[in-house]
Amino acid sequence: MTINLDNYFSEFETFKKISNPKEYEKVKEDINNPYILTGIDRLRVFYELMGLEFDEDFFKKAVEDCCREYGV
Amino acid sequence: MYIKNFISNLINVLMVLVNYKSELDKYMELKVKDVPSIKKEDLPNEFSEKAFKTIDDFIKKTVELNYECVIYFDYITGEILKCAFGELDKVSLKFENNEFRGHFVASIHNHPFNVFSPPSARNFGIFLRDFEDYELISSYKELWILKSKYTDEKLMLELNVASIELFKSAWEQANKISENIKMVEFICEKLYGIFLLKYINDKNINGIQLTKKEY
Repeated sequence: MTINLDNYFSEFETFKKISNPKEYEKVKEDINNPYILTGIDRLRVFYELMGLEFDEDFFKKAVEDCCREYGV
Repeated sequence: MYIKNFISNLINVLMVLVNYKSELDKYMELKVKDVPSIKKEDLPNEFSEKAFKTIDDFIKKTVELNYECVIYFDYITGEILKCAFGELDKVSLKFENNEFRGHFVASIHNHPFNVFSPPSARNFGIFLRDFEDYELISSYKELWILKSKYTDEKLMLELNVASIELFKSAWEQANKISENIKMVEFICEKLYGIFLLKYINDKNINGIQLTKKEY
């Protein structure tokens, strides 16, 4: 990325909520595919690739807390 | 040729001024809704009462918009310096070098209901802008505050990639837990926010911090 020092540009772009049913079908396929890492497993590998320590307990608790907060 | 260029540049500057005033007028005309918002103590200590008022007004003016709006403001005087309107998931603007000289600059933009509240991959441009100390992101339920007192292009690029990976992981994990779309959205948004907070704050870089304040 290059920056033109004479003319700055600022852009904010956001993750949209997913309403396309095909996106849900696609993620289900990935989740059910034993050769594709998804969710927390994907995150663990990303952390390892970045050379960062993966706090297994923290992420497990985060998932549990989110479910509890929703009421499950 | 010189005179022709001069007149052309002058016209461009006048057009910018006219357009800028129109965007700000449009923003000022937005009604302040009676909705939950942040408290003064939710903001960084160096933000003034006037800045709090500017932020509080922004949250209440933009909460029901289905498109993004951004204002740049002075977080000591509360003065709005620049304003722009965009689309559902994007807003952009241009500025000149040293345009905000002498000001203490922060930006705030809204995330409408149909987009997720936390900062996303294209929300880390602050690490390229040396004049901007804070980037705030407001939604209907929470305010995100990204503090960056210096530029770091490498960090920005890293966070572009990392935020996409964190979001995908959260999205996939939410879909593993439930098939109920509302629950998936809720968990995805919560998890992604947690992942992002941990990732950025674990880096423990002096002068860089991400916080979330719920209304």
